[in-house]
Amino acid sequence: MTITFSVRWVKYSLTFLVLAGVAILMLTPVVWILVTSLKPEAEIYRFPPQWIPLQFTLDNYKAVLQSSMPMYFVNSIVVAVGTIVLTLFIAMHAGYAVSRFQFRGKNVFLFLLMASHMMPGVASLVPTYLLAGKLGLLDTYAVLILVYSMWQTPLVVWLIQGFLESVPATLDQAAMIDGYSRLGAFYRVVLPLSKPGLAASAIVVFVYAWNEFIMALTLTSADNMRLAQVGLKYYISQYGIQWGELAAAVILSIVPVLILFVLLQRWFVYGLTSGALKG
Amino acid sequence: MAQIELRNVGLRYGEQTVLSGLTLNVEEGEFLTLLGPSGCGKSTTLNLIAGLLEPTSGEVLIDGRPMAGVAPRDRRVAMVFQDYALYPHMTVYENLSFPLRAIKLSESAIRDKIAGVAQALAITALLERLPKALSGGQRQRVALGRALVRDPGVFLMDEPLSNLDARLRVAMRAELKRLHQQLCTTMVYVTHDQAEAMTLSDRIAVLRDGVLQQVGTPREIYQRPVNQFVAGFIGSLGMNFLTCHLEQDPTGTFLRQDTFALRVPASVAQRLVQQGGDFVVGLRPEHVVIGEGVDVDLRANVEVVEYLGSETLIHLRVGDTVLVGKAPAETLIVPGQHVGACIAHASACIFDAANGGLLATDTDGT
Repeated sequence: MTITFSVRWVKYSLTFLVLAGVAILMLTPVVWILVTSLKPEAEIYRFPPQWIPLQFTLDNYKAVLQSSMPMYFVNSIVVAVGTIVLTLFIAMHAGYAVSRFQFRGKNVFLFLLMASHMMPGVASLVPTYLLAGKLGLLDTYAVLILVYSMWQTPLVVWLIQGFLESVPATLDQAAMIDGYSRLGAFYRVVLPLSKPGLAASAIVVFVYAWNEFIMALTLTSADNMRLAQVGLKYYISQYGIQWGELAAAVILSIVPVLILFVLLQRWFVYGLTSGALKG
Repeated sequence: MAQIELRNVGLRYGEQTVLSGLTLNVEEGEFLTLLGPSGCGKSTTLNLIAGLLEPTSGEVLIDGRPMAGVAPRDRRVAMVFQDYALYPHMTVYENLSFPLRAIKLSESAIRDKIAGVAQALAITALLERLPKALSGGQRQRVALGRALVRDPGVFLMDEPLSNLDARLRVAMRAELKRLHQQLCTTMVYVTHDQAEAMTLSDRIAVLRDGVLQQVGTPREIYQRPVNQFVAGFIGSLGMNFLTCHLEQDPTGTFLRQDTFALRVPASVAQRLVQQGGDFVVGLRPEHVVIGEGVDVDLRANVEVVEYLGSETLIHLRVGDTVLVGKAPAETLIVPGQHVGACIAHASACIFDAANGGLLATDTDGT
């Protein structure tokens, strides 16, 4: 019994150590950026670097908030939320069709859907720019929302399809017999039970739209239409890098993603369908 | 109440035929059971009536109205699913009110209806619970309640008792019977449990591999099965089958195998002689009475003795066949013993050995 206990203790300790190592590896850059954002300029260039600054300052944050960055953040939020809405709207219907209906070429369709996502985004940059120009969509929220949605929809169809398939088909059938159309059954029964899938998809799409750089840089040029990730680039210029302000802007740009995670956290509840069927 | 008619209904998935040429009427207020082994097409038939599937041939009519293209919600049917299909994110009250909200009933009317149904099914105390907090029997009641609140023309039930334990199943069976007597609504019930079918139904339709074998009252199906499949499927122990050859001697005509012999009435004998070949005699276990003091028709060795409490099943070796018969519970028969058995000749069925079709029941001479 003692031997069994020791073996288990060693196993747990090793697991803990590995996980702690990975967590430290992931968090170190974030902590370093946070520390940098709170340092005055002289401290930033001090060598050897100081993990705990001798002097704390919020000047970097003040500078960021007084610049155009807040406007860029608002633009990014509008585009990201718009992308989430459009992508989820299309993908949940497509995912439902794929999860519930058998049709000729279904597997080919699913493969092509994923294959389209494997194409490098840069490959479509020039055609997308020309098309957007011809449609008069350059420097609009619409162009970014459309392009990002087009890019994310295939992935999200795959993602949502898995969640929709976990909802038993007899539930939609029961709702259809209970007096609803197929879409009515989908909205009232299947969709509420797929909240974890929708939440996961929303976060995937948000993170993509929040971080995407090339398209945002190419399809917008007016300052009032710039997104946050493009705005960050302005802290890196030919005259040098404004490390303090850049770090503060990066920390601020993490905040919306964290807020979204917290808001959607309660949707990440597994076992939503428990009790539906025999058991 | 509604009347259902299936006219030559068929369903195919590509090359696979699921149902073929099914013609069946369900009268108003009737309790009809679709009975058969797994994969015989009984649930498919139910889904065709419900509108969850469309037939590839033939048509479904409800109250004389063709149902092609009519959505499930417009067919006035309610369905209880095998797995209950309760909406897990809704409380019992919300589950019950779900179909009523679809027809935009007022909140007070919904409350009244649910109160009535909940009381009838003894689920009033469960109304605020989520399905996951219910036992199997309670879930089954809620599923039944959701069907009941709608006042449908037809109840469709897809093996609703199959997930309950044996004791609860018997209790719910009686409750369903009482419910039907009370409501007199047309019910189509799917099961593979012949005991359920026998106890609940006005009529039973037996299906096999998507083909209707026989429709009739439980008594007809039990006593005059149209073929060996139906005979073997109906009855808790199934029917004994003995392949026999026809023998004629001065005392009469007999169907014989080893020590077993069944005297065939003259009217039947004539037909059997004309047909020729081998025949299969079907005997239900209760028609093979084993014990001393009975008029012995047959003597055979006992292979297995199964004590059931109320009676004892005795497995007899007759040639290359095992014949299951019944003896009183207190019998002292043991395996290996040579015993006598009395055959209820009048209840024997004679089947064609070639195709399994019923040729005659011993008494009627048909």
